[in-house]
Amino acid sequence: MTPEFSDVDSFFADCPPFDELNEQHRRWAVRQIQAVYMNADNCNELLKQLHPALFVVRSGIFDLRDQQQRLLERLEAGDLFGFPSLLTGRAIINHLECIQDGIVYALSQTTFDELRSHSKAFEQYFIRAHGQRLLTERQQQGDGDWSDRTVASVLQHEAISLTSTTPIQEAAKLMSVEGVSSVLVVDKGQLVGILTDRDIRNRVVAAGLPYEVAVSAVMTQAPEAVYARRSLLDALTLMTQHNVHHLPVLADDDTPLGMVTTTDLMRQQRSEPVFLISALYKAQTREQLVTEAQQIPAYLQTFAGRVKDTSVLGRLMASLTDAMTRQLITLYEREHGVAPAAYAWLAFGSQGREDQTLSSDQDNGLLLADGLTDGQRAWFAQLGEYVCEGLHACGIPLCPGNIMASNADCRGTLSEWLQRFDGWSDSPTPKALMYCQIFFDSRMVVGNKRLYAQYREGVAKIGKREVFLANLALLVNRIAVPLGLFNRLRTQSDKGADTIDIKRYGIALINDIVRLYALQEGLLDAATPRRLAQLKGRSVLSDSDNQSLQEAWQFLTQLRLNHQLRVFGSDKPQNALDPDQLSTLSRRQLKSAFRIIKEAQQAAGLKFGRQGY
Amino acid sequence: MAERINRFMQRFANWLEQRASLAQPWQCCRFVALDLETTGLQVKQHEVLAVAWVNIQPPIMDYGSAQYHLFNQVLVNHTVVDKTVTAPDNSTAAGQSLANDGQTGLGQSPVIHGLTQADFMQSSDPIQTLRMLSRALNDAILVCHNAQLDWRFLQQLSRRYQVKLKPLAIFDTLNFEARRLRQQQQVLTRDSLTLAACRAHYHLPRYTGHHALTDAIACGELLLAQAYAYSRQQRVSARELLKHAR
Repeated sequence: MTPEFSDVDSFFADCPPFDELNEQHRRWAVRQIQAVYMNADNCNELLKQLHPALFVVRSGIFDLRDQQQRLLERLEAGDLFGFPSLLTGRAIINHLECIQDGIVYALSQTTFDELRSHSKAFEQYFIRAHGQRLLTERQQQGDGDWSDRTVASVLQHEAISLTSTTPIQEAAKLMSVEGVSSVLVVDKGQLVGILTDRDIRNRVVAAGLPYEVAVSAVMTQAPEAVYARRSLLDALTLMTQHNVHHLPVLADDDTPLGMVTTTDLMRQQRSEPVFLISALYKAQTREQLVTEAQQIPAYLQTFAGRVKDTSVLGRLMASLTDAMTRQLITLYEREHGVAPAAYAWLAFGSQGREDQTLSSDQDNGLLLADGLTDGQRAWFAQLGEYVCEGLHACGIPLCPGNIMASNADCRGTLSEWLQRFDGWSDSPTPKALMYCQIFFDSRMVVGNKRLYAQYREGVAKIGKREVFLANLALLVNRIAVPLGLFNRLRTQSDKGADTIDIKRYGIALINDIVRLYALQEGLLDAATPRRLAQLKGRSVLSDSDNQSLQEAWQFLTQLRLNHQLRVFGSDKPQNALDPDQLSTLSRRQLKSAFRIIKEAQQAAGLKFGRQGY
Repeated sequence: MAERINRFMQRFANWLEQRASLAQPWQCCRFVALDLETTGLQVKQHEVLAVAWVNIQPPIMDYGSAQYHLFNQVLVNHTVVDKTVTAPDNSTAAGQSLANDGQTGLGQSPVIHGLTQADFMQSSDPIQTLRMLSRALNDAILVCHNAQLDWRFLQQLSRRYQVKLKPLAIFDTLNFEARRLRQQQQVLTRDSLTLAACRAHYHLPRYTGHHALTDAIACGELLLAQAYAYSRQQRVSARELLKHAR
């Protein structure tokens, strides 16, 4: 009978990259194992004796050190070593120091070669691990969710377009022949506008315009558009952000390709976010809105299980909050009349960065046109009150730091805001710097684009100041990454459990570091992945560091999401997790992520920190 | 007469050889860690269902040498009992906790200790199995957790099938641990000497399975941990080590 190694089998089934092997190969590999009991007396002798081999730590703790005695890695259960010699054929140059005795499995070169000849994924793992690219491991898994599909994949037919000089009647004929509710207006291959059924109804028929008038007089000029290679979620976000139902689709060279509509998105299976968002917009009263909003957590729970790229969820959550905010403003305006002056509703922090979670609290403010009367200010004060209260009722917690439009300090005219930023950057008290970290990640939810653009430019100019950046860099460096002396994860005791706060020491730190580079480069975007994308190819941050930071951010947000879904509804900490509860792979990745952050933190300190005080 | 002298001389030579082997540092000896699955704890009434063993040349345990054999003569209507001192463990699967509550009459249950009828169909010829074991034990030290019981079952098999089993010596990981704990003035309870509990003293990994091979490997690892902890850098002969496992 073939012996069964049930326990060893299940250990390997959970130990990457052995999980990539099929069961037959994995079981075969287990039978090739030489298990050794390693201790301080025999570990280096064994290393030489068994070399070349792939070693897998089953228990015990061993420090891998180089010839200069520098610690390369602390090896614990599930960790691998010895593979560089297997890949390169070079002699062993590192040595082990035994911290705690344990069992180590050794697989010979022949076994290793046999396994990698059978599984590309298995081999790739070691090649990547050799290049310290552990964090990309998980990315190829799972099949795509609808939101990952490209806009191009839902384009129904060729672009239906006409020129801006076409008479309206002719445009209407074309639309009815083609059976579409909107057309692209294209001049010399460039998209100049769109014309919809609604435009014809409201701006032509209702206004009593003659049908010979050119399309250019009634079309929506310079409409929002989406590139064909972007995801459906991008399209959805754009539609909700601008509250439009038709979105022109462009090729990379800006050639119009066609149009996507909310109906197209709804036709996609499982495209519930569309329904959810449109339900929010359809709410006629505050009560209806609150009722709809209450379904969001339950919905996100099921949705989260299906998406590959979790940054999608942060964006979706931000879109939903945006939708609630806009609807609340609309409801307020219905009762109190239209806004008496130009304004912009600003989202800060996680909503601004679009990495919101279910537990994120409100961070918002109001940007107002200069020269307001007291009465006008009172109108906005009440608006802030109404919206923040409404969001709270919809399940978005109030901000404990009171960074909300209901607070007079968070409502200001353009010059007041800029003055405040100026003050913070000139006298950088710790509190001022903390404000900066929140306020510099801003995004307009609704309002006057020109006003917001002026604000953003003014803020970007202030953000470029060297002394200010230096102080922010110092602040970033004051936070200690939870990696101990031996590259072990350092936990904090909290309610009897040893945990790590991956928001404070992980995600937030990456956000802070990336913000530094974004400010220096004067980028106007707030989302961390988009900031990183825009920093690609610039000299301030090398592309490989950029990529590492992005992978670490992705990994940590994913980890946080999984954790939050697990503890949702309980009073367990939302951001603190116990590394002992993680799988071997996740723990290994968590270490890599923190290592990346630590290096990036030091690099940012060196780059920006010199002029600080 | 000459033959009798010859036989005596042969025995004497074997004895000298054994003596010399046990005088070596323990790391130079070969060990065989073994575990049995039986239908009960009474050698006279109960039967061996399965045997598993693995070869150890300290500190290496070669999984390629692992053996697992089922005996097909056994009637299936016996309850399986883990002969090692096993405290009732609620976490084990239903079949196993049934085994531990000491009741007989698992009756028609098609599963014994995770063994199914299909397993018995593939079982090995007991004489072949015992001959293999005999060769493995030749010049090796047999290692078991609660060795006395396993050894008595093995002797029973040995008599029944006329296959001699002559290990160099027998090392009992349970006795070794009991002695060590007593020397540390620790109070011994039934639970503190289970295979899992002994392994925990040495930070060895927790195994969940109760397959005979898993237990054989677990027992072999425990031997290595015990022996290394005892000898720490000193030259310790196999004989000295065995003395502590009596």
